[in-house]
Amino acid sequence: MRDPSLAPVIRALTAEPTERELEGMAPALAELRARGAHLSTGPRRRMMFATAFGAKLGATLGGVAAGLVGVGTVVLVSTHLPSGAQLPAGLDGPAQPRPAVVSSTATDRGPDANGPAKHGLCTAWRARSNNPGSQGNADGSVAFSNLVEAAGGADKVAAFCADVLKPRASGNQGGGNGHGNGHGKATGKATGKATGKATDKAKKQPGDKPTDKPTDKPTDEQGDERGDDTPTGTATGTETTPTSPKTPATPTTTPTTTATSPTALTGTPVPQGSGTVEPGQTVGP
Amino acid sequence: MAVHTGAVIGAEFETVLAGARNGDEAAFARLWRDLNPPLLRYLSLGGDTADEVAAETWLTVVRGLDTFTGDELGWRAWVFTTARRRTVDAARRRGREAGLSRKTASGWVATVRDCADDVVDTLSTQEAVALVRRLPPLQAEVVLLRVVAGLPVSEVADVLGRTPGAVRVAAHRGLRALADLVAPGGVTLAEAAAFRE
Repeated sequence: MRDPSLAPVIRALTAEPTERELEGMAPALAELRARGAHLSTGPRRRMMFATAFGAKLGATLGGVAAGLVGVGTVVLVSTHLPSGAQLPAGLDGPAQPRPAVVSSTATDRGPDANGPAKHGLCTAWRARSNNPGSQGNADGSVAFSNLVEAAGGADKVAAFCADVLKPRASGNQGGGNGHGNGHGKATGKATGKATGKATDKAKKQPGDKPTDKPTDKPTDEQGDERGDDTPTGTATGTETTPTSPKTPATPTTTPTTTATSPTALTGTPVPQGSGTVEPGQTVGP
Repeated sequence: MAVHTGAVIGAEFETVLAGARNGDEAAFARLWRDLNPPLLRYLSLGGDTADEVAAETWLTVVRGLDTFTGDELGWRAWVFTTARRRTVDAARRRGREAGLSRKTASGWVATVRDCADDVVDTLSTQEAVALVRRLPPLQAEVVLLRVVAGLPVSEVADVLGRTPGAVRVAAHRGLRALADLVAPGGVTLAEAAAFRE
């Protein structure tokens, strides 16, 4: 049906890629690496944990990792393990690979409170309990319910969190927590994998804007970061420590109880561009 | 007409995508090489900003890598949709109001109505794209998204924010116009070449 005279055109349009068309991958690759650097610690660290904590843990991690191959979120396992041999209590116990933690397809289950997200959740929980002006500890977010559930009850959260909330000597700054680089490159977003997907963001920080997307320019949909102009939009990723939700790079505003947390990036749904910290929104980290 | 430039990744797509998300550079390279040439060809519609916009597109894609879910077609559609948005940004940066009342309009397409050099015997890719640029913007976009990006009608409709029906009509008209450019009055390239000798 197609006009035969079109054949040469179609052929030319669909010709094999030329060398020139295959140049220029470097910046994209660099961006990928940068994103990865803000991601977790990666395989090397994972191995380190494996040897440090013994076969069981190694097996757990390995098992989780293996199970994740097809899902592409292997890195998350070691994301929030604090350095200095501190493991969230539940890690080698009931913390078998959980879909919520592992899945790269966002199922709204919120972060796994027994897994790497524990630290962040506990931090957020403590911050909120220290700041009664906000919603207190009662909170309908999936994240906090997960925490409560993992702890065995709202009143047990303190105990449950005790082991992660002591000050960390090693100051594990990064812990893969997307660093203080508030201006996310969506590197922050990547870390979000650790705690379930992007949707979690909304849950964990009730006072924050539900999704960063809408806070960017209205034309954005899908994965488009018009937000590359205002990178923090997505960069906040669903990090676990929503301690200073409003302050992109300087966790100063809120009385952050987590001194050491590399929070800056995390949980800052308010993109640089918009700049305002709505007072009413102090979720209070 | 489901011809496309470059290899389609096919059944391995899920794995490759997961790998890229995981930071695997080889996997990402595969995704990149698969789409960059089509991307450039498509973006040529916008004039000399193609390289710049392609680079911006990839940055956006990498940053948003975790947000994407879907199969290979969805992936392609997403990348091209992103590309269109970046062209708008580029046009604005250059002080050109792309004239988009909707983000979906084809105002960014810098078609060239009159072209001094006409069809040559063996068409290079660039020449072919130049021909397409002589079409009305919507037709130009549709033709390239169908042919170069290899997107089916429904995906093209999504990328452009049009109905599938409109896409089909534009494709049909675009191809017909293209044929006329190539072989005015039904004279094929080969025949035209013969006349010139």
